[in-house]
Amino acid sequence: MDKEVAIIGYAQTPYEADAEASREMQVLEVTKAALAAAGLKREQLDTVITANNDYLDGRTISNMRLVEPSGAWQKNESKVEMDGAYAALYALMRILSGDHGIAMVVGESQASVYGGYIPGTMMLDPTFDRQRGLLNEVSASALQARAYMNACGVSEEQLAGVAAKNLANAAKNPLALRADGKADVKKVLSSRLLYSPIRELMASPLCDGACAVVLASGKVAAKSGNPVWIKGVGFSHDSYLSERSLAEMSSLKDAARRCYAMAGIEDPASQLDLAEVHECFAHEELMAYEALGLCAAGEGGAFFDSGTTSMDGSLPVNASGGALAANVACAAGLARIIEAAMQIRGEAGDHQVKGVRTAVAHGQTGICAQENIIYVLGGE
Amino acid sequence: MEYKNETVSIEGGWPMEHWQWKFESLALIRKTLEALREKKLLGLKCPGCGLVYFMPKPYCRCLSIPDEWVEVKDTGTVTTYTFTGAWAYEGIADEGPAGTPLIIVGIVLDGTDTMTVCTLSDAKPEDVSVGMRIRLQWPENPEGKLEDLAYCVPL
Ligand SMILES: [Zn+2]
Repeated sequence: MDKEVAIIGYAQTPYEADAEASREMQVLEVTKAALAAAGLKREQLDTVITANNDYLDGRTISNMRLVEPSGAWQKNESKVEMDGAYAALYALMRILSGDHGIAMVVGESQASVYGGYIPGTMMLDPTFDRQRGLLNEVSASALQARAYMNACGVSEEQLAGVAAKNLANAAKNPLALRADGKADVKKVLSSRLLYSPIRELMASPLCDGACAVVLASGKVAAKSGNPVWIKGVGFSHDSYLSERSLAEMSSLKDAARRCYAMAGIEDPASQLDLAEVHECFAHEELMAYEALGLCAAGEGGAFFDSGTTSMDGSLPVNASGGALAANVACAAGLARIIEAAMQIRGEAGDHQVKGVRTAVAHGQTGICAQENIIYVLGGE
Repeated sequence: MEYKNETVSIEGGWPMEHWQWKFESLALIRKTLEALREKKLLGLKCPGCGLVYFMPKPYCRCLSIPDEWVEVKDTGTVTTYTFTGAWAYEGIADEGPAGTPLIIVGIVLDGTDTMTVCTLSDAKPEDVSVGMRIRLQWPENPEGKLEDLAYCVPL
């Protein structure tokens, strides 16, 4: 895609364990802030897409109280029950249809309402796995971690290293919930063991928050200051966890192939300047390196050890701290898009990486990263 | 906001016969469960791609309808595993018997192509590895319930 759709504004709440405001008021806050950032009035929005989830909200039609706060009153509104990165896809397609010029995209949820990882069991097969009581988001991801580590020779120290890197990066991101400038492998390995090999600091903290992105057609975006162009998008769904290899993220690999073809990326490691990946657990970042083609298959651990993905490396990954710093269900992938756009615009403040022109952003939904979506974003 | 920490426990199970879903899986799983009484394991084979599902599944990713019942073995291979740490997880047991970590294994039974999860007993966390061979531990008198498949032991 060449200058067809761009990000022209965005906003995030701080990510908190237990926000004072309701989800509706958090959405109102980011909607207004994103509109202001884009230099737009509510009246100029053509369509609004939100990402939220009925079972996380504890009632049906989780978007019904978001019509006004998301700017959708008497507008063309719809939602996805997936990550906000998919809401951005829906909005992107609406703009590409030619019928809509400007879209508001919102992702939100509040883990303080639904109780952390507990609703994750609703993603399990209802007739069998949910009845057994053995699997939940953490134990299933632990099975994924072990399968990957066994196949690719990755150590617990390497998982801890990813967590330490991201938590240290997060110390420079004022919106992060979990951050530790002094995080190191030892500290991560001495945090509580949840399900082996996953320790508390290797698991993303589920939290409260919202974020919003304004997408605009090329015609509108060209007149705005500093648009961040969507160069490509790719998405792919995999089978339920019992019917696929947990040792690799094959659907992310497939999504990347489609996205890179659209964006004209032939050698991701040299053409990309930065990546924001949605790693719900530390091992998923290593798996994503491989699936995104940043390194060869099976080389995720060694690639991490090379320092390439650290803040001062040639391809920093999760300069924001990633989802290990804050993982709002239905928003964390959209937040990765925002963070990548911030880096391209040079608006990332203390966690700014120098000279980011092209970046990749990843979102996921489903147990053990069943569904994956990536975007390649670029500046002028 | 203390109310958030209150938990209400309600006694009871989740009897599947009370569900009124039009869900072909239920009929298939009932057949597999019924066979457990005779210590038989029934998988379902897809005519399109040959995949053998255990537990059975009414549709396949190749768009065929798995319809051939095949008896599969009660031995298999561990494809991945985890064990619990010192962590209380609401509503989910975090320990095995007598304070030992609960070892959860992903296994592929011989003659099947899909993973199922099971608790490994008679083993310590340091004994378990990917690739290790296991056998299902049948209860003395299987009752045709999911619980009959709860445990496996190293082979
Ligand atoms: Zn098939």
